[in-house]
Amino acid sequence: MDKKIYRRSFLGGLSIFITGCIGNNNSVSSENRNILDFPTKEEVLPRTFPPSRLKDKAVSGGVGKDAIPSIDNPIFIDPNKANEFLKDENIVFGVNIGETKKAYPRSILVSHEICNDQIDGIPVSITYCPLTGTALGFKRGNTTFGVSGHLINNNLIMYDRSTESWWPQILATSIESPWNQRYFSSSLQEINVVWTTWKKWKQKHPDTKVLSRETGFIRNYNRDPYGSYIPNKTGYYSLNSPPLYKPLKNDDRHPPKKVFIGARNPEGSVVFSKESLRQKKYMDGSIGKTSILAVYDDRLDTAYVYENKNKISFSYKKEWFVRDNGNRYRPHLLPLKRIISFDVM
Amino acid sequence: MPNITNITENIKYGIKIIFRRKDTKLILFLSTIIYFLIYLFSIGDLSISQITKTNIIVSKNIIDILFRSTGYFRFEPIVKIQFFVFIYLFSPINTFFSLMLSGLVGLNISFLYLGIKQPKICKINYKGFLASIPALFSGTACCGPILFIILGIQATGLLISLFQLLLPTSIILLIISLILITKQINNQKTQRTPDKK
Repeated sequence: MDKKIYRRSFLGGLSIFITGCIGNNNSVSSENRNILDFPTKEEVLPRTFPPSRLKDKAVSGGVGKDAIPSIDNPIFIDPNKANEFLKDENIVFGVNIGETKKAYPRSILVSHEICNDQIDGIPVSITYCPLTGTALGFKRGNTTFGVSGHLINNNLIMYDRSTESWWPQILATSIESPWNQRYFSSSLQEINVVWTTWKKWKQKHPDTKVLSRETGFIRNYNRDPYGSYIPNKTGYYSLNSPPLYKPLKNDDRHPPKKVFIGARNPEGSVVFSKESLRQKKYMDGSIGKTSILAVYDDRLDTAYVYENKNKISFSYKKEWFVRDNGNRYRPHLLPLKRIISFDVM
Repeated sequence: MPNITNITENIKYGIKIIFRRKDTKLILFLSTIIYFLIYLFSIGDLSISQITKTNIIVSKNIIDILFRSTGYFRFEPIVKIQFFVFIYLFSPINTFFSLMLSGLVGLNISFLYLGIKQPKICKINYKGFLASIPALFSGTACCGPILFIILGIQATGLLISLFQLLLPTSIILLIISLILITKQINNQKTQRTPDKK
């Protein structure tokens, strides 16, 4: 049944880093760019607080620097081999760059949080924060990223091994750190990471490679110290379980661990309830004055977020989004500018 | 200033008494093993798998990771041993700490038992044993954040910092408890066997 898209307000939801830092568009000066070994965005993403104040908001996660070791020499295996330890409903983080498709099992990354890899010749870091339920990917250039052992708003703070600057994962933007006196304001270049299930990913990408359990570390990768996602969410992941630390901003409109699809650009950020997107297939919202469109993809149980400045209308028909001129598009290929989006609790 | 020689002799004598009796030896052995297993579970070095198999996986870079810290008083495992449903991530350093802690707990429990069984011969100061109770929770000291998550308690920076102190504090309390208990035992012995002139 066709569905018309109507203009409606988006669900506010739990936006971890809300719009508010208007006018913080400092780009990296040319002399500072020489300090960095990795590519950064032209414009800086929004921060709710000034960088120095964010540093003060950082807390210890109870472990030291690199106590949670990143995977720096990942090995990949074929899907048949991965089936020995992956069930269909296990969560994987899928990345598709060029002709290369890779799946990073959540069960492995929960013990390492960062995998420094190379995809289609591009050095990347695939990162996962169990406490905020976020999986994001970044271009890392000549450096690697590590786990600092600190958190901000319950989110992983990464550090780059070239400058030892701090980079909160969701923020993807540097903040002042006690390890680097030379602060520079910069945001990381990101790559799309899909939070999906092993079954859905291998159905869509049968030629995918999978991160193997030979990480160089001895771990029980069947054990998640925080809880479990299958068959039901338990422990820290359960819907009403409180976050480890009190959030920087209180918002009790939704249960603490409800999942949203978040997106941000230099103007601000927006979130959409993932459950609502599953049901409605598309929702519209806004970041600042820019209209935003979020569309759901049944095949991967994920969503994509686009800037829809001209407010183009689409209708949904059997996994396709149909434009008013009759052209139809797959959810990830709408003729709009796509913004990096990700699952977030 | 405490006399180290006296303390050592007192502890040696106290341990001899424990080993002289079958029941106290058994209590020592059981409580040490049980605490050792509980502690390993609490730090995640011991776990139960849903898959039954038996194998051993040895790290290919033992030298690189042997002394690598994974948290407060925790170090990287170098061998994974699965025996049916039990998985043991063996770290020599974690195992050493665990055995030391378990041994101290076991000794304290044995002396408490002895004090209950033989109050006339061996009066035990229960205050000494109470000092060992925090150590029973010390297994969680290394993993304070995980404990907060399990209990659904929100942490603060102060609490996390305090948790980091829990394990060394527990070890110190257990040693003090051992010193006090064995000193009392030695005093009891002296009273029962006064110097003959």
